[in-house]
Order: sequence, then C-alpha cells, then structure tokens
Amino acid sequence: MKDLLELLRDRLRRVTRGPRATRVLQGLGIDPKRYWLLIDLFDTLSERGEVMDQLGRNGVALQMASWIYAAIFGFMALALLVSRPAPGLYAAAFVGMTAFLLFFILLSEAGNSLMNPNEALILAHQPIDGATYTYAKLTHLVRIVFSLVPAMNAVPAVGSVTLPLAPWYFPFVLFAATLATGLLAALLCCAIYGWLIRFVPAKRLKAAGQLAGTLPFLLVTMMGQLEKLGRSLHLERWIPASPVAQFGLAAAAGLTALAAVIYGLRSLSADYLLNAGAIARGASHKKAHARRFSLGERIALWVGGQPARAGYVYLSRMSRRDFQFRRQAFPLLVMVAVIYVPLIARGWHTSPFDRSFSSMHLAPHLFGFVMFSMCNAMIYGAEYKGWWIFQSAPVRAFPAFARGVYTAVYLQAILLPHLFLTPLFIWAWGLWHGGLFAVFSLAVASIYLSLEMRLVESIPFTRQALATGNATLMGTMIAGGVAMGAAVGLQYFLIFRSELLVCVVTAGLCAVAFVSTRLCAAHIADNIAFDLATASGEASAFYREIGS
Amino acid sequence: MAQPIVTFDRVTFSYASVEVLHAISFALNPGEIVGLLGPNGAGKSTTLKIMSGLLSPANGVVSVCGLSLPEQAVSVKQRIGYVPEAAALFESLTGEEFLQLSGRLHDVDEETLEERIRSILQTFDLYSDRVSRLDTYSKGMRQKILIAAALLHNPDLVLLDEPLSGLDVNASIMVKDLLAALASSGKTILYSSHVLDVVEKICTRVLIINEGRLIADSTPGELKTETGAATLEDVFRVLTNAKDVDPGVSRVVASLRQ
Repeated sequence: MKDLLELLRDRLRRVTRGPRATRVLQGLGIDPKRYWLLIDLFDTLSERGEVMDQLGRNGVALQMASWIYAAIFGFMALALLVSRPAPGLYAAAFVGMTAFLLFFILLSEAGNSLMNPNEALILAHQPIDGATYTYAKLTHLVRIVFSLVPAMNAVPAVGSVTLPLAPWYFPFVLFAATLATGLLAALLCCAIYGWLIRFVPAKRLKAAGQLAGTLPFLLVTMMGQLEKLGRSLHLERWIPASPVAQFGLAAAAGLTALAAVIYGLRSLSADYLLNAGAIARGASHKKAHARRFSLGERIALWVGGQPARAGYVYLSRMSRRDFQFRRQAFPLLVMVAVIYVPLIARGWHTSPFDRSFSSMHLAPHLFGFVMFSMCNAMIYGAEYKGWWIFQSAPVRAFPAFARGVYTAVYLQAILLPHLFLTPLFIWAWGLWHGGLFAVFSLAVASIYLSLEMRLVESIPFTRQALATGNATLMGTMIAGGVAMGAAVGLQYFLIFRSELLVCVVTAGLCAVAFVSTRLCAAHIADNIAFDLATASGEASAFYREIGS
Repeated sequence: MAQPIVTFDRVTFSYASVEVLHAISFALNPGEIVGLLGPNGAGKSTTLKIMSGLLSPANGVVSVCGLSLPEQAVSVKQRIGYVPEAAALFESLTGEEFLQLSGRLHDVDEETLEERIRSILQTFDLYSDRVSRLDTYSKGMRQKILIAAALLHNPDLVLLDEPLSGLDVNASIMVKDLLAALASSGKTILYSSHVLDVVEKICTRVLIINEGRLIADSTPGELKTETGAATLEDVFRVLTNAKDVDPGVSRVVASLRQ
C-alpha cells in the first residue's frame, strides 16, 4: 500500500512538473522553475515545523479538520435522510454548506498566507516575480479543497442512494458538484485577495484582509436584507421575457463574473514582493498613544505589583496589535455582533424571571462562548519569537504576571460589559430582577473565564499559530452552541422558576467563581513557568524555584 | 569612463507621510568599494533596499546594471547580491540547503552551484556544519551564510548592510580581503557600516547620509583634508554635528542609581 502511494505520488509529481504543466504555468505568467522551488521550500518548512499555521501544508491539522467535518456532515446527512427530502433539496443543502465552510476556511487561509508575509520578507531580495510567489503561496488551498470536500461529502453522497427518486448516478453528481464548488470557492478567495492587493494600499492590507475574513458571516447575515433589496428594486422587471434574451443576460452576467475573477487572479501578480515589507508592517507607522496610568493598571498593581502591571499592559496591548490574534478574533466578534447580540437583544423586554422564554437567558453563556475562542486564540501570536524576553525574567515574577494577565481579560471582557449592561437590565426589569440577573450573569461568565483561561498553556501570544485554529472553529462553535443550549434549558426550566432558587444558585456560583478564579491564576502561572522551563531545557531550575 | 553600475537621481522615499530620503543623487562605478555611512535612522538601509528592488522610490530615477527600478526589479535581483542588516532565515533549513535554495533561485546551474557552495563553506569554516539546521548556528555563522548566499551567483553589484556584524576577527579579515579581491575583479561593492575604521581601510569612496540627505561624496582622504579631521570617525562627527556624548552617559548612570 505504501509503495503504491509512493508510486502514485511519483507519477503525480512527474505530470505536474512535466512539459505540459510547465506550459500551463508559463501561460499564467508563472516561472515554473522558481514556482516548484518555492513549493518544495514551503513543504519542507511545514514538515520541519517551521511554518505550522497553514492548513494546506500541515498534514496532521488537515487530517484532524477532515475528521471533524466528516463527523458534522455525516450527522447532518443522517438527520436529513430521516426526513427523506427531494434529491435537489438534499444536494442544495450540502453544496451550500460546503460552499459556506470552504469560503470561510479558504478566505482565512489565503489571508494568512498573503497578509502575514514572513516568508516573503526572507525571499524579497531573491529574483522571484510576484505571480510566481503568490501562486506558490496559494497552491495549498487546492490541497485543502481536495482533502476537506471528500471528507465533508463522502457520507452524504453514499447516504443519498437511499433517497427516493434519486437516480443511481446521484451520489457521483453530488460529489462532483461539491468538489467543483470547492475549487470555485478557492478561485474566488484568491480573486478577492487579488482585488485587495490591486486596490488597497499595502499598509491597509492587513486590516482589509481581516474584514475580508468576515465576508461569509456578513453574507449569511445580510441574506434577508439583500432579498428585501432585490424585491424593492423589482429585479424581475429587468429580466426580459424572451428565453433567448434571458440566456444572453445570464451569459453576460456569467462572463462579467468570470472576468472579475480572472482580473483578481491576475492582480495577484502585482508587485507583491515589493510591497511585502509594507504589508508586514501594516499600520505600524501609526504612533501609539502615550497612555496614562489607567484604572485597570492600578487594579493590576494592587493584585500583584509591577509584574502584574506588566501582565495587564502586555495582554491589553498585544490583543489589540497582534495580527494572528486579531485575525482569529475579528471574524468571531463580527459574528457575535451581527448574529448573536441582535438575537439576544430582541428579547430584552421579556425578563428572564417571566414564565415565557427570554432570549436574555443566553447572555451569560455568550461570554463563555466568546471567551472560549479568545482564550484559544490568545496562545498564539505573530511575533512569537519575542518570547525570549520572558525567559530572562525571574520565575518568581510569573504568579503576579499571570494575575495581571487574568485581570486584563476579566476587567475588559467580563466586568466592563456587565457594568454597561446592569443599568440596562435594571431599567428593563426593575432593580431586583435586573440586579439579580446581572450578578447571576457575572458569576456564570466568571466561571466560564476561569475554566477557559486554563487553556492558556504559555505566555499569551508566544506560540506559533497552528493551522487547526480556524479550520476547527466552526466545529467548536457548533459544539459550543449545543452546550449553551443545554445550560439555557436548565436555567429556564429549573432555576429561574423560583426567585429564591436563583438567589441560592447565584450565591453558590459567586463562591465557585471566586475560588475558581484564584485557582486559575495560579494554574496559569504554573503553565507559564513550566512552558518556559521546558523551552529552555532547564526543567531542574523550574522545579527548584517552584519548590522554594 | 565606464558607465555607472548604479545611478540614483533625485530619489525620494517616504514611510507613510514621513519623507526619509530627500532627493538623493549619486552614482557607483564598476570596481569601486563605496562606504555608505550615516547616523541611525539616516536612510542608509532604505537606500540599500531601494537599490535592491525591495522598496519603490516615491520620486526620482534609479538604475542598476542598466535596468530601471522598480520596473525591472526581478532582473536587478538576479544581478545583485544583498546582505541585509537584520535578516531572518528559514531556521529549519540547513546551511547547505539555504545556499542551494538561494543559488537555484538565481538560476545557477547545479554543478557550478555545488562547487561554489563547497568552496565558500570551506573558506568560511562552515563545511562541517553544513548539515546542521540554521537555528543551531551562532550569529556569526548565520552572517557567514548570508554573505555566502549573496555571492553564490557571482553578482555584479554587492550590497552589504553591516556585513561584519557578529563575525570573529579571522572571519572579518577574510571578508575584507574577499571584498577587495571582488572589487579588483570589477565587482562594485556598496558597504554600509558604523565601523568607520574598517570603512576607512577598505573603501575607495565614502557617501555620508544624514537625515535623508547626502552630505558627503568623496574619498576618505579628501574628506579628512576638507574637514581637517584626523580620522574618518572625526570626519563623521563633524559632518553629522554629533553631540558630545558625556552628558547623555552621565544621565543614564544617574538614572540607574535612583
């Protein structure tokens, strides 16, 4: 089996590097020799663990993502097959889901490849043209498509044989359609970045790339509004009655879209390497504000002296400036802002103490949901090589540093939003109900944070980003949604049926939050010390200092 | 007289809205070793980056080896060797692999490339470490790899930004001799450094940039005569209006005592 795979790989290599493929590459304005040199280089860097944030080049991450999506799609297929839908509807569901997820993953991957040009900075003075470099960087998107699409759609395709009215060839059609959708999504993502590179100034590209990463969420959210807009514009009036004219109009629209994609793809060859430095710097030319001694810093100083203040300031600033963190956090925050907050806010007039269901029950868990992803993202940073600075610090400083880090997250992500929400709750439901719900929500969010901050296994932002992050984000969100639903059910059907019970539970949750927070800060400090000691190979020093 | 290999004509460059090079003009001729001097932030590295096709000037004309920049950047990069000041490397590659990559990207044929790599690695005393990953190399060893990568494809113009940084005494002497030999064979070398005694010894001409303006373009001897200074270091201090360092040192020491 291994020999067969090797043989296939060798054959594929010969075909892709043969004279015909070379002519195709040359036709696209790519220098074939340098293209393959770069492909080999990127593969070597990934194999040796130097570049781990690209899903298409990280075999383990790709396999993991494939299994996760295979499970999700398999589950969906089973659920759909039970209702025995029409074959067209069944196919549309899976083509749509594949398109959405791949668009989400590939946009993020393309953005990470092009907007975080670490390799480009090393290669910038080599004689490589922009087209060759960018196509070599984006080739891994094809590998993602050929790994994820079969994983996503194998079970749905096989399952479709049980559909009534489905012809025998239906599974093959479904499979081919999803694969074509995946390749189209890859081309679209490349074209979008081509347009950005062509028209957005280099220093703004990083920010534009982060915005582009939110496109799938925005499209889904705005689908209703777009439909309304279409209706108000009476688009049907613009469609000619004659079938020939309709065909002509459709062909013209298709050609325009094709031209836009080709233009975008050709724009990838624009002076990318000449701009790599400016892209990497982003908006770093902006001078940072000379900050005053903020209230948060004062609190951090109180909880642990100067090391805690250092932790507070480090986390606050890096979370606003680190490209990797912003890349992961931004789409999530946009999704929360455009989907979840409006969803929850719609139920503000119904008190959670009412018999009828209030969507406000979801609010405390939303903090947990957001912070889970944030804590995951916080481990990784674009400037992870700067971690050495922490190794020069004494180990005894880390408990206080960890408290500072915790304080920064707690104050900015949990306490501050609750201080803002409490008057609104009180205004909407009265002092007693509003106040009690605010305390309940604060306690629940604090517990979530104290559990989720345990994910931070090292100094925040000091590990190289892993490709699994964005690829598994959707799976995590779905799983998180299920857990959130269970907790909300418990709240609505049990706890909020009695004010006394709410008081007792809230008091209990406050106590748990207090203990759990203290334990978590200590746990982070141990994680940091252990990670630094392991990294420096000075485990004995670590045990000595911790023990002393 | 031979055509200049580099022509900078009224070149300006800005980072965001801040202009860091103000209409700089000069030319480099074949076989010259030219020192590029200036205080920190004067615009030396920016000048080198423009010359190597890494940055695009806002205004002015730049020509290298008869090719205009930035339009023909890829062709220019084929003909120059560049040692950046603070270069990142692919840490997981070995020294030999990095040099192979660089040579192949410059289209050096395989046989010649292997021969050159062996010869350079032996000369730099890195042959036994050629299969070690770059993340295990010391700063000096990494610098030798960067210099080797810049020379492998036999460039017409060599741009060096602090090339002796991290090198031991023997390696420094060897690099200086190598540069002199390359210049005598017709290569042009632009050498940016803060180590002025080295510049004084090896450079036939010196360019001094201060606050983005070219304030001197002459031989070290002529500069010393014009300013009445005894050394190039004194010339530099006179031309760049360097302040007396003593008060600053006293301030730092006093703040450390607080």
